[in-house]
Amino acid sequence: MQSPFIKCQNVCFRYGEEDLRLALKNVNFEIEKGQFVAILGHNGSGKSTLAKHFNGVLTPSSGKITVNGIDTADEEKVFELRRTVGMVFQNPDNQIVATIVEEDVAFAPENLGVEPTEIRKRVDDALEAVSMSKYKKHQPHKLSGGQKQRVAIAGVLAMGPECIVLDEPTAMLDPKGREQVMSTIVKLAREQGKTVVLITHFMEEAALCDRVIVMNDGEVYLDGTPKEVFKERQKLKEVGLSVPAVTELCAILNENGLDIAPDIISEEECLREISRALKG
Amino acid sequence: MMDITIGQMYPGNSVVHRLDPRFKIVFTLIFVVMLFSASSAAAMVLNIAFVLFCYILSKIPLKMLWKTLKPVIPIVIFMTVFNVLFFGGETVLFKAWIFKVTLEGVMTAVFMIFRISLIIVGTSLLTYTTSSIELTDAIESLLSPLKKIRFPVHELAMMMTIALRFIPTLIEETQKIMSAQKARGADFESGNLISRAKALMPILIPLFISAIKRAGELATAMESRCYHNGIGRTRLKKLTSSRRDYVALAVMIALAAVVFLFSAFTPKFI
Amino acid sequence: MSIIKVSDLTYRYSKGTPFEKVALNKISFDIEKGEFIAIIGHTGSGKSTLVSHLNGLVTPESGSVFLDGEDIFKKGYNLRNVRFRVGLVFQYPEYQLFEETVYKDIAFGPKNMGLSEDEIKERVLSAAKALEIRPELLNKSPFELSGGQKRRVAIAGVIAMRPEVLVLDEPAAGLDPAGRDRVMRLITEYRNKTGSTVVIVSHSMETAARYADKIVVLNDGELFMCGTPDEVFSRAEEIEKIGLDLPPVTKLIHSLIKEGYDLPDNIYTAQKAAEALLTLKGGMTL
Repeated sequence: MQSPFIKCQNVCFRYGEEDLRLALKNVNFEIEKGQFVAILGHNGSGKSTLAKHFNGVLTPSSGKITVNGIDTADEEKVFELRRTVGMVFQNPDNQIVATIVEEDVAFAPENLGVEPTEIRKRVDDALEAVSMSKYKKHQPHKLSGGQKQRVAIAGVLAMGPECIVLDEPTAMLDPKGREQVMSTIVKLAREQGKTVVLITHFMEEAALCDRVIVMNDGEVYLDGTPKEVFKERQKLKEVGLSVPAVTELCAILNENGLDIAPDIISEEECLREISRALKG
Repeated sequence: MMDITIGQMYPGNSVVHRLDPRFKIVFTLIFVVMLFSASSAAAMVLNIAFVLFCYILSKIPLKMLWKTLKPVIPIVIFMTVFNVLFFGGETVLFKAWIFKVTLEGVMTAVFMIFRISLIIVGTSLLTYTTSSIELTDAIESLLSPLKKIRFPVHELAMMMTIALRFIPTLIEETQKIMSAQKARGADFESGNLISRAKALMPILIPLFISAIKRAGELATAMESRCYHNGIGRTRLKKLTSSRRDYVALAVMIALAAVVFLFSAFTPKFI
Repeated sequence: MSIIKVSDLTYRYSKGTPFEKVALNKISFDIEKGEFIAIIGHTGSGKSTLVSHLNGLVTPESGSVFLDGEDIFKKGYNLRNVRFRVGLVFQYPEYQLFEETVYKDIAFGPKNMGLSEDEIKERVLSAAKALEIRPELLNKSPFELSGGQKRRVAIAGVIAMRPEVLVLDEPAAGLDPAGRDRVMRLITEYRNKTGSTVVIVSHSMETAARYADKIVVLNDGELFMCGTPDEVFSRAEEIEKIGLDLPPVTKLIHSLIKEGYDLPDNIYTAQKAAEALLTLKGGMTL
């Protein structure tokens, strides 16, 4: 049997030696290669702390994380790890290094000592993958938030990672930017087969994934498919989260005796189901 | 919004844009020497013509000249007034109180205006036509002999890149903070020097804090993209010099020679 | 009488250069005393530029803003005073925090107003209370707080000036769901308690519909629509055309209406939608 791509074993983390509060408490889970996973939680739930563990920016205070067989605490393999797991952060402004889009995308392969002709190819492919090719000569600070964030994703793709971890990539964007970035992420997961870990607090984004891990107070609170997780409406409310509006609607209808599946997560599904129930 | 042009690139694909950035830096240095050795009107005219020619060649709209100069107008005016009023000289044009305005003073002032304007416009052409990465690569390459004495050439170059990248971001941020504090009744315009300096604290503190936060996040993002102090680093665009660059260098040297000759043999300005 | 009257407001960026762009084009609307108004539009529609005119931070090219009937851009009008009467909270306002303590930061506005120490103290404490900032936080450095707390402190800093009109640009941007709900709830409570006029700027139809009495829709610097949430929702298709998102529930109900079902067109919450659907279903089985 194939071993899991990411494996967290009893991961605990505290920010300082004397810090009594554990930011992560006994986190255990596995992520398979090619899986599209959302990590959901409110601010302070530990979800961003966890994300920073996947490429070794942080290492567990106790416990162990392996990614593709690499122990993230192994300092000798830190570059191999970072090349395997690309990280995209919340604020696109603070991760773009260069003043021209294509030069920024080239940053990682340059650091890795890739041949110039190969860098050129990677840069072009990465920009193509995020639909930003026509902006390659532009200056990043003149782009919109959604465009900047896609450049940041391209910058990570150019390393050729097997896995991409995105830490609240849409939190600072307007609805249009959010949509652009989400459709890029979905494309990477579905068409390019990348393992994608999306840290978010938007329920609608989590609903697009294969699996949702809900974090609360440093612990894994719920873990399952979006349908399984969003069925737990009450449990989510208890930790300050909600469910997508259409899920909420279907759940209320179901509770009131209408013949509607209680685990609807997409708008199309919801429309179909309600149409059917109204006709029936 | 404020328009800041200094240090920003004006993207394009002209001959000037395509020159080897290392040569461009050398050209800029030669130009500065040319400018300061020009002591006759003819030599100065040649310098002006040269700068205009380069702008046209690089397809940068000439209105950019004005935009470039606008921020330094106060300095130019100050220097002009200073020269006109305090320069010695014999040919007195008129006298008032302790001031005497001389022909020499006026001439020096005029010359000064051209010199300052040209140096700003000319050196700006370098940053307009060269991306910051090219620029820093070039500096790194030109300074690379210093690596032998363990001078941190790469680090210096990287610092420059980042500084150039964040100039517009921080300017925008400063404006945002200023507006926010003004909305809370902060007053930056009245009071004496000390109270005005104090009034800047509500801008400077948030700006520093945000800059430090940005620096931290950027460092993490750079590390995540496998940055490790330029060891074994390759380049998307390797700096290559072609015949074009050598031709330009030859022209540049010839031009400098002409400026020297003009300065020596045509009538002095002053 | 309307407390703020925006009249033929026009503003251009980079005027006189080839990059000139119209940011606002002859915008006119009124804000009544005590009203809760939402200004919505996509990025670049001019909404942030518009609110910067309301307290005189930006001077219009033509047209004006009248506060209590007086032209604030009139020569000799005390603009600084307008800033205290029309409190403006910018987007991501936490970057404005700078003082050593939360208390001092909230006191910055009132201090600039030249109030007495006692008055300042009273205002800081009541603003902190309104934003649910616990008293023990007041002596902490604002930089030690969490993101949501910082946001509330920044808003308290403007509320402490006791403005007649409170303007907030995307007050909930970037917060998690609990943080968003909390900030919006506190703003509503503040408004209900003080009767202040409130203007919020938002991308979201849902936020606008949920909280506002009146919605102003901007598109490319033009006033696209202005009316009650019901009026605006009844023109949902036009709203979608200019690139604004409708709440998912509204989209669903509108699709059902198109299929021929008799449902109200102004629904945006799951609860309301469920009620309407159950009524409809009940009617059908009868």
